Amino acid sequence: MSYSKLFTVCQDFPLGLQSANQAFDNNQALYDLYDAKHSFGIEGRNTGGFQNPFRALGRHDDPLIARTTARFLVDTSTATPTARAVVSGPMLNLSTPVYLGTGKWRFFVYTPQLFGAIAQSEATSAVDRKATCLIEFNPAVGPAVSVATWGVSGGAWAGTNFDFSITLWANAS
Amino acid sequence: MSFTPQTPARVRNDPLGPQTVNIAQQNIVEIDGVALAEHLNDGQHNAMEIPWLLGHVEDGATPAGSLFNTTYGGGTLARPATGAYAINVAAGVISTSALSQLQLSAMANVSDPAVESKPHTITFEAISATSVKVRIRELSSALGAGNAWADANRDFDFGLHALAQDTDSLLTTPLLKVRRDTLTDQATDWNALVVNQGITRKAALLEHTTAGLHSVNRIAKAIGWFRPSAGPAFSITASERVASVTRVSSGVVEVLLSDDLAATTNMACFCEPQPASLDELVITNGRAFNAGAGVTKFRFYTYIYSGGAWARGDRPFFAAMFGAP
Repeated sequence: MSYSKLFTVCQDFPLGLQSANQAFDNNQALYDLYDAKHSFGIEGRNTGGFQNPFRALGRHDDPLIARTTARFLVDTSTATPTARAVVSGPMLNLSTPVYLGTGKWRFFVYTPQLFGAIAQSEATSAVDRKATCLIEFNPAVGPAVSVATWGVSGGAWAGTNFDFSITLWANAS
Repeated sequence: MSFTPQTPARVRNDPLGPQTVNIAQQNIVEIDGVALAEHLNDGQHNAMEIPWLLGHVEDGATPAGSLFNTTYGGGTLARPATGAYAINVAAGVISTSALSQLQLSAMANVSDPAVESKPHTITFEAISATSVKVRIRELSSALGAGNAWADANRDFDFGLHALAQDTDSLLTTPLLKVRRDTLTDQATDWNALVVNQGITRKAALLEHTTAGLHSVNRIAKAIGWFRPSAGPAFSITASERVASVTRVSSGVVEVLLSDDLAATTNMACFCEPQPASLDELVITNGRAFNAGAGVTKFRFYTYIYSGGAWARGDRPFFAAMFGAP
């Protein structure tokens, strides 16, 4: 449907069918515009009646938009370090990170179609830092993203614990 | 797809009862609800997963930024030391709450021509609600001969993610019609529908095309997974709006975007290589290549760390490419 700007009226102004129909068409045009890359919460309902959370009302449904971004703060005060996600953009996709060893973490991913991931390192005084990520598939639990955080020690790169960000791209369906 | 219930077109002698008008009013409110889920009421995208600020920075006597989203007040750049940059965000772009600063996540990429010959690293640090620091380092050793690093002034790309902001609807509350009402007995009802449609359309077109495609520099123009293949060559594993990929040489890959993308000189990208294992360190830097009128290309340069030194090499990688609408 095409959109055509309508006119406001004063009292007793007659409105014909053409104007009414154009108003309906305008609504449909706006619906079609948003429907292109956003969800109206209708699609994605499975037979159990549960809404696919990635297709909830208003959520972007465009593979060009990242599905999740999160910043992880690494706590090394306990025997086994933990990486805690600061509450951030849709966290439906990532499990609690599993500590694999110094500078190594694994997240299990719940998003329907994992497309890509980008890890970003943070630094304060120590600046030779690099975060990388590896997309894996575990038949038991599904797709996973593992993150390695590297620092320079003794002139060589080695696993080092520090804060990092991760951004995931995925299709909703 | 369409609304439920729908509003079928009326013809001569069809009744135009109150329910029909009420449905039309409710439909525009439904659209507004969809829009406000992840947009501000003026149409700007408002979601943590979409960078609030995204830019390509050209280093120079004074670093200059482009692709800044001016609707967020733009930003200023400073270079207080070699390889150190401060991205100063206008007040109000990022909430001043401590939690909001903690939530600040980022993407960054060194996109200088120097990445063609050496790997570079880039880190970020959230300083305050209005400042983010970026540090850039370059391998100072020759390829294959060591692992010394040094600060370097370079062009770079960055994207900052922050907490979504609260927003309220701008729509006029319509007066729903009942039996025996006339359509325009109160000028707010039909007019409310017209005004609401205008508000909604204006907001929608701020960062979307009339077809609903995204038209804003903070949303990627193309993404893709690229992998080494027999030849040696490179292939597209999966992509969105990528025309082709070419292996230029070992560790150098060129990605051509789809022909229908507008050519732009303001381009940014973020990339992530897929190492052979979690114990392998690989760095990939990307940059717009021969950016100019009619050209939308990026090149990606991959370096692999092995035996205490760096060398070019081929690895699969993911890239998200951005440009001005």
